[in-house]
Amino acid sequence: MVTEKDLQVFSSKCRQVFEQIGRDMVGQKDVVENTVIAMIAGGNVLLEGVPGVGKTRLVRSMGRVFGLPFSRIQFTPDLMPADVTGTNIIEKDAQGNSVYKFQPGPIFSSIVLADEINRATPKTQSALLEAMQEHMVSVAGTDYKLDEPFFVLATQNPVEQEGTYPLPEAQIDRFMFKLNLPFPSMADLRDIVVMTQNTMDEVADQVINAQELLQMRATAKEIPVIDEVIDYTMRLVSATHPDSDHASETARQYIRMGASPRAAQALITTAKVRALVEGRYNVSLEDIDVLAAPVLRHRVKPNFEAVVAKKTPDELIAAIQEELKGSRKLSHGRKNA
Amino acid sequence: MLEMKKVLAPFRRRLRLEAWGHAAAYGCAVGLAAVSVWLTVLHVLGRKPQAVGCIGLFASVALLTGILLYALCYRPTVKRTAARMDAIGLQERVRTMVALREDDALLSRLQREDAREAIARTDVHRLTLRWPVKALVICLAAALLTAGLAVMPFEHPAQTVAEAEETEEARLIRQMIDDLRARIESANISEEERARLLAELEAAEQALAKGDADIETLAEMTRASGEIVEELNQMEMFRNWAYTLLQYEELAVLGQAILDKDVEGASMAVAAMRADVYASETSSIMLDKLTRLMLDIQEALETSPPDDSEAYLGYAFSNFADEIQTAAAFLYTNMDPVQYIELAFYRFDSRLRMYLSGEDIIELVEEGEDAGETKYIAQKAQEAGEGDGASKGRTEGEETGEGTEGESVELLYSDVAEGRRGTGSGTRDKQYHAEARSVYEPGRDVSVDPDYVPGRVNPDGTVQRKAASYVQQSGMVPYTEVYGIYYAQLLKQLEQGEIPEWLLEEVEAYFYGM
Repeated sequence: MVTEKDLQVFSSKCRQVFEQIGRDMVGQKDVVENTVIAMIAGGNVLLEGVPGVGKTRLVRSMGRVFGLPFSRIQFTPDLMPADVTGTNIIEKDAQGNSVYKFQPGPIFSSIVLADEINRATPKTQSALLEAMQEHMVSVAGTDYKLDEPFFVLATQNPVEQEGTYPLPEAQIDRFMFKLNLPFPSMADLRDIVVMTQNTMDEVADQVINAQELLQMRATAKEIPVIDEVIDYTMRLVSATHPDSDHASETARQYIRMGASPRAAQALITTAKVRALVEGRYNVSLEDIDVLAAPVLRHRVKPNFEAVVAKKTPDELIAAIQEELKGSRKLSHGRKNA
Repeated sequence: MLEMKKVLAPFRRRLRLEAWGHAAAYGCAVGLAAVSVWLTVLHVLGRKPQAVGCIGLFASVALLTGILLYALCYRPTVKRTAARMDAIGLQERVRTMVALREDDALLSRLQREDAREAIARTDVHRLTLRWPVKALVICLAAALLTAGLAVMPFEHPAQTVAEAEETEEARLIRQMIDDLRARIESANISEEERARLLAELEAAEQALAKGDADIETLAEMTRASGEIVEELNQMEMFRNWAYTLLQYEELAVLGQAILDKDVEGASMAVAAMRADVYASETSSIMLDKLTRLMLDIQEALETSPPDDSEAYLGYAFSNFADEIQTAAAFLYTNMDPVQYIELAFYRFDSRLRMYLSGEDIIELVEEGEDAGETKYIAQKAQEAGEGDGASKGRTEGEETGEGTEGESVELLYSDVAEGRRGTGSGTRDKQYHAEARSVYEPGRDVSVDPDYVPGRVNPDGTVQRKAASYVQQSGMVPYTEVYGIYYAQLLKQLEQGEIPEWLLEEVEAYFYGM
C-alpha cells in the first residue's frame, strides 16, 4: 500500500538523484532521465554512443548516487563466461582439506557496467542472459541469486569494428532501454571541457540506498493506467510486427522482426515511473510515446530494404507512431470515449 | 460523481454546442438527401413537387435525425468530455479521474486531486470546437443535388411526348370547334338554338384557351363537340329533310344543291346520278346501283320524314325511288330498263326544278296533283321535243300523255307502261305475267350479242338499248325450268357471303317471296 510518505520520498529522491548526476554529467538530460527511470523500474540499459560521450561516466555516477555496489566488466573477445559469472576454485578449509569454493565474478554486484559488451563473444555475452532476466547465476549446477537491486548497464559502440559481435536478439531483448548518447552540443562540449579540467573523477554523492530504490519501484508500480493507454501501447507494439494483423505500413515495408512482449511490459512499467517522476499520478499517452523509442529501437529489426534506404530504427518507430496518430485521435474522440 | 460533473460542466457546455452543430449539420444533410430521394421519385413518376411538402419533409427528417444523432452519437458524456479535455494537454488526467472515480485508494484520491487542479488551471476556451466540416461538405453536396433535381424539368420524356401530342390534339379540336362554329352559324336552326350551341362552343373554347387542357379535358371536349354535332345534325334533320340526303354518298351532292336552292346544281347532280347508272359495265352493276339508290332514298324518307314545307320534295323522291325500283325490276328480268330509267330521272329532275324554282306547288296540288303532274310532265316533254331533236322526251311525253290523263300518280307508272305497251308490244299485264312465268336465259338465245349490256355507253356516245320486244323469244324459258338453278345459286351466294350485306335482306325476301 502506497503511503503519502512513499510518494514524498519518491519525489524528493528523484529530484536529488537528478541533481547529483547533473554534477557529473553535462547535457544528455534525456539519457540521464531515462537511465534513472530504467533503474527505478528495475530494467537493464544498453548505452550506445561513440567513444568519449560519457557512457561509462554516467554509469559510474549512477553507482555513486544510488550507493550501490558497482562493478565493471570490460568486454573483450577473449573474455570468458567465468570471467563474468565467477567460478569454483580449490581452497584449503580449516582442516586443510581442499574444497571447491565459488568465487563470484563481477556480475555479483548491484550495478554492473558491461563496457563494450559487443566486443565479447556470443558465448560470453550469453553468460549475462540469466543474470539480466532472472537475477540469478548458475555455476556448476548451483544457482546463485544476485542481490537486489541488480542492473546491467552495458555500453557499445555503434561503429562496426573488427572483433565485435552483435548482440543476439535474445540478449538484446533483455535490455529495457537502449539509449543513444549523441555527440554533445557545442555548449555542452565546452562545459564538459571546463568541468573536467580540475578532475576527471565523479563527484556525485549518494542520495539513495537500495532499500529506498526498491520502495520507489514498488510505489511506481501502483500508478494507475487506464485502458486507453494500455490499448494504445498494445497497438504500438503490435504495429511493429510486419506479420501482425495490426501491422503498420512501415513495419510491413521496413521491419524484419517486431518488438517482443517484453517491450509492452517495459513500456507500461517505465511509463508509470516516468509519470511519477513528472509528478503525475496517472500514465499518459505521452509517456508511452516518449518512451517508445528507448524501449523499441533495439527490439525492432529493420529488413534489408530499410538498410538500403538508410532507415534507422528510431525513424521507423517515429513513422509507426505517426501512423497510429489516427487511432490516437480516435481514442480521444467519440468512438472510443 | 456529481462533483466530477460539476468540474467538467464548463467543458461539457462547450462541447454541447459542438455536438448540436454536428448533429444539426448531419441532420440537414440527411434531410436534404431525403428531399433528393423524394425529388428523384417524383422525377421518375413525372410529377411536380410541392414546395411545402419538400420543406416539411426536410424539416421533419432533419429534426428527427439531428435529435437522434445528438442523443446517440454526439452527446458529450462524461467520458467523451474527459477524452476531449485530455487531448488539450491534460495528459489522460481526466480520463483516469473518471475511471478511478469509485476508487478510494490514496493514489486514486491524489490522482483526482491532481486532475482537478489541472482542470482548474485549464482555460475552457482551450477546448477548441471542431467544425463539422465533413458534415457541412456532405450537406453542401446534398443541397447541390437537391437544387439540381429541383431545377430539372419534372416532365417524364414519355409525358412530354404525350403533351406534345396533346397539344396537337388541342389544335385539332380548336380547328374542329371553328368548323363547328361555322356550321352552327350557317345551320338551318332557330336563332335561339343557334345561340345556345354557340354558347356551349364558346365555353369549350375558353376551357381550351386556359391551357389546362389535359388529356381528360380534351377527351371531354371531344365528346362535347361530338354531342353538339350530333345535336345539330338532329336539329337540321328535323328542320330540313334535304339535309338527311347529305348522309348518303350517292345523294350528298344532290342534297347540298337542294339545301343551297341551286336549281342547276340539282339538275347537274341528277344528271350525274343518271350518268353513273349508265356507266355500269354490266347489267348486274347497274342493278346494284339502282337498288342502292332506291334503298337509300327509302331509308332517308324513313329516317327523317319531310315536314309540310318539304312535302313535295318528299313526294318527288318517293316517286323517283318507286320508278327506279320498276326500272330495276325490268333490268332484273332481263328486260330493257332504259326507258324507265330515263323516265324516272326525267320526272325526278322536273319535280326538283319545280320545287326549287319556287313554283306554287300548293296551287298545283289544289288544282289536282295528278292533273298538275301530268300537265307538268307533258309540258316538259313538249319542251324537250321542241329542243334539238332529242326524241326521248317527246316519245315519253307522248306516251305518257296518251295514257295518264286523270289517273292517280301511283297509276301513272302503269299508265306509262301501258301507254308504251299500247304503242308497242301489247298489254302490260299479259306481258308482265308472261315475263313472270318465263325468264331470259342467255345461254339459250342463239342471237345473243355477247357485248350487249343495257345502258352501256358505246364508244360513239350512243347508249346500248334494246326494246323488250326485241328480246329473242328463243332465249326465254319457263321460270320453273330455271328456278332450281336460281335457288341453288341463291343458297350458294348466301353461304359464301358474296351478296352485299346491304342487299342481303332484299335478295332473301325476293326469293322467299317467290
